[in-house]
Amino acid sequence: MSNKFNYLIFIDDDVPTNIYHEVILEVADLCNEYKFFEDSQEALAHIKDLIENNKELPELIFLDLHMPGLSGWDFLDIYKTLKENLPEVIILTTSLNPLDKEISKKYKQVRKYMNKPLEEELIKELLGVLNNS
Amino acid sequence: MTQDLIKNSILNLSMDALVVLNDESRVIFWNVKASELFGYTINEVMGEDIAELIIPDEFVDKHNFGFNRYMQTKKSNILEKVIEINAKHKSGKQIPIQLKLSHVKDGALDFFVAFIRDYSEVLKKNDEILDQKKKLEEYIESNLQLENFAYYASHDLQTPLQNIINFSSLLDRFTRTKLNDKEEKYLDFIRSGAKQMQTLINELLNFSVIGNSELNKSNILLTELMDEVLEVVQLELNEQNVILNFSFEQDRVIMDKVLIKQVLINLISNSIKFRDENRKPFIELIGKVKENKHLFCVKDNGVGIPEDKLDAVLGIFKRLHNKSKIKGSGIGLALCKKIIEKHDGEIWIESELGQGTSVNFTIPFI
Repeated sequence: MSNKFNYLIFIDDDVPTNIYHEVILEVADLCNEYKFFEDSQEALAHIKDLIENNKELPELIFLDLHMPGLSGWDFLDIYKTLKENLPEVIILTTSLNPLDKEISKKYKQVRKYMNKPLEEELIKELLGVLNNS
Repeated sequence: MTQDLIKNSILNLSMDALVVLNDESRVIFWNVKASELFGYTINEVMGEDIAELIIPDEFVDKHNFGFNRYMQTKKSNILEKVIEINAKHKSGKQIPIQLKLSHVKDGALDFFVAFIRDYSEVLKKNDEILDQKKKLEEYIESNLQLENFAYYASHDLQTPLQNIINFSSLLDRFTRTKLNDKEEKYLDFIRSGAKQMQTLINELLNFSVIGNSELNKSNILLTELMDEVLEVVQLELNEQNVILNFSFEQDRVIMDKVLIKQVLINLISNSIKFRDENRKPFIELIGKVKENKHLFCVKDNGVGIPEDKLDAVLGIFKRLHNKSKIKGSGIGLALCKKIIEKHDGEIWIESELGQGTSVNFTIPFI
């Protein structure tokens, strides 16, 4: 049982949100390594690269929904085809549309649907869930 | 003679035009309704070829061909069926009709009976229905767009606002000890202002979405509903030392649980918010049955509402108190009103300044 995440990926086009999450991760000190992507296309390329080169995948991917270019849904549609047993996705959004929550249930890769921001307590909770699963 | 009179009376009272043709397609009977429909008197049509009277010019050849073919082969595509075609009025104007044609042959008797009905009103009504259906579809579409707009607008407003809240929290966390009293106060203003705006956006979104969405009604056990309501308001009740009692005459109500829960939370929160500091706050929620309706009453011993403001408080953005005194968006009661009216119920307020307020609402039985 680990008491820290090894690697997490965040995909969100909003830079201040990413900076805030970075501060929260630093303060919480519950993750060894993390990467932020403002462009979901780049995130996909990175994940593909990890898969192709048999590198360690992140434990979780935090995904925003409403982004220019590839939206969160577009990302999930491609992501789910990459391989079996992919890292789980946490949807992290400011959307209050119940329809978004409903749609997220259709993706088996989505573990949780949450409203921003990610706080220390939530990281601890997710770490606990991951350790128990 | 009497028999003929009865027959003629019946035939002329018919709501449909009735035309009888002989085996040469000539008129041998023409009732009153036929005269009304086609504009010819009986004298004008007797013995005349029907093709020259009421068949539109472009169909005359087709009619003659079909009639002759039937007389020779007894094959027909239109006999004994209700068909919809255009006929020609004496004025030359075409009129849509429904026609049922039958062939009677008994010994020497050989004739055709046609029942004809003016179809233009039906077509007009069909057009009107289609038109209304189209308008309804457009309305639904525009409502959906409005709802999506509300979600998108709220989402795009939330993002920068969330950043203000996030970073003022970080500033608070990392720099509070270095700030003087004034600076601390400024930071608090930023945070509380942004949080207030966030509440406002959420409530506005609720208000606009509830107005456009369908109710999701089911048979709800009120004690279970109250458990969920208490989950939300219990902390506030405890903090402000407020006693809440509730009793229900009937424990099941058909309603949209999520929305009525929202109503009860809003009303109880209001009672807590507008408590009178000079006495022990008390809230009573009573559910009764009255004239095929559920009647609910949320009664408090709070500060009360002036009589001339009673109607206004149910309107959107109506706040009777200064923002710094009592927090509120001015949407809560308007939202309650909208939800109750969507249930075909009524909501009204009784209050006495300095004594307390009672918000009453009804939900009709299904």
